[in-house]
Amino acid sequence: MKEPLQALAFAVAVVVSASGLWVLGGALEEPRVSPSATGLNLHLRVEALDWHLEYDAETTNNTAFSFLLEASDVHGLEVTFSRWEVPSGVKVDSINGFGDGDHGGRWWQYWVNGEYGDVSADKRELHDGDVLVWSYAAYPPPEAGP
Amino acid sequence: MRASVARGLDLRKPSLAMLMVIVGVVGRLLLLNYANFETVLVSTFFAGALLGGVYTIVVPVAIMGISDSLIYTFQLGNQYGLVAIAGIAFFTWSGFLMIAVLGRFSRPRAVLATKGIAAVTGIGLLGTLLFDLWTAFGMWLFIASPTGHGLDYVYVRQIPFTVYHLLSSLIFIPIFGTLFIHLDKVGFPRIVLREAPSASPGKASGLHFASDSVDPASRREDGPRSKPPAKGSQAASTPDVTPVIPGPA
Repeated sequence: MKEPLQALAFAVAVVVSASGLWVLGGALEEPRVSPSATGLNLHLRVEALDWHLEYDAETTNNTAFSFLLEASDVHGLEVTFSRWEVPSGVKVDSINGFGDGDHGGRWWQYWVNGEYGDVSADKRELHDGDVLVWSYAAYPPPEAGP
Repeated sequence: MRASVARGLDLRKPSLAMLMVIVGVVGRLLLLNYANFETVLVSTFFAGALLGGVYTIVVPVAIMGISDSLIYTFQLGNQYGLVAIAGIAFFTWSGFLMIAVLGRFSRPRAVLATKGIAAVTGIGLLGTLLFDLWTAFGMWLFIASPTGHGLDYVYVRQIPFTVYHLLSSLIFIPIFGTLFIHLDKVGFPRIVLREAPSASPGKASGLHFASDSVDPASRREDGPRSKPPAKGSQAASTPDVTPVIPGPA
């Protein structure tokens, strides 16, 4: 096969393979959560070493991340986070100056109704009556599970 | 290949190494928000494949050292504890060194042809997979294992990131690989500074760009044509043609 044809065939193979990988990557991601159409009664507890915060609200912010941001707006909490584009997701880096990896290797993690959150906080959907806990704890906690 | 400067000082390898470091650092910083999309792997792979020797170590270490310093100094990326940084960094850095060594063994296939580019792309994809397996093992060792989590816990969660890492390599290896191989075989464009006024009317002196791939005879000014110089000899039939010192083929 002549060089130009080889180059064309290779380019086509790369494009097809790349497209396949892109589709596969998207399929493996957790689906995005649509905002709730109706208000949900949610409870939030944020706890660190020597302080904690309780927050109850009826809200349409129905993810572990969006509800945390709502509480931070209401109570003046400083929340910093990193947003990933590919794969999409967020990671909370610090709350009220308590940053990931500080204080003996503690990281911000969340639980919903006692169940450890092992997906991006903006991908974890909340339902009416859920209890959300953001805790500054050692990572990963034993209850993370395989 | 012709030497790019006088006095026998061949800057081809250092120049290409510097370009690889720039590509690695800039690409890594620009793609921080795109997990596992990076240009470090392609730069380290071809540092091994095309440059070899000390560059197999210098290029990946320089890329990671410069980019890690910028990331943690200016808090460009996620913030991790010092122990996590040290532990994960060992596996990441050694992983890229492994890629450079893999590139070294791929040297015969790094040719400027479709088959060559396809071959190194395939090898690079394999290297990407090995890199992810190695670094995920490091994640397990320093983060998951202390709390009793198995290796499968980490590897299962690594899958989506590896898919995107393979996509990154599939895109960047053909593109930058072609560029690096081309520059390695053909050389960088040279700036030829004209030192004497031109003998031909209407031609002003100044900077001219030339490529090492161009036969010096073709750079002659308008005027009486003369026989092209024999290979290995200097070309200086008119006063204002910059002598070209041929180097090794």
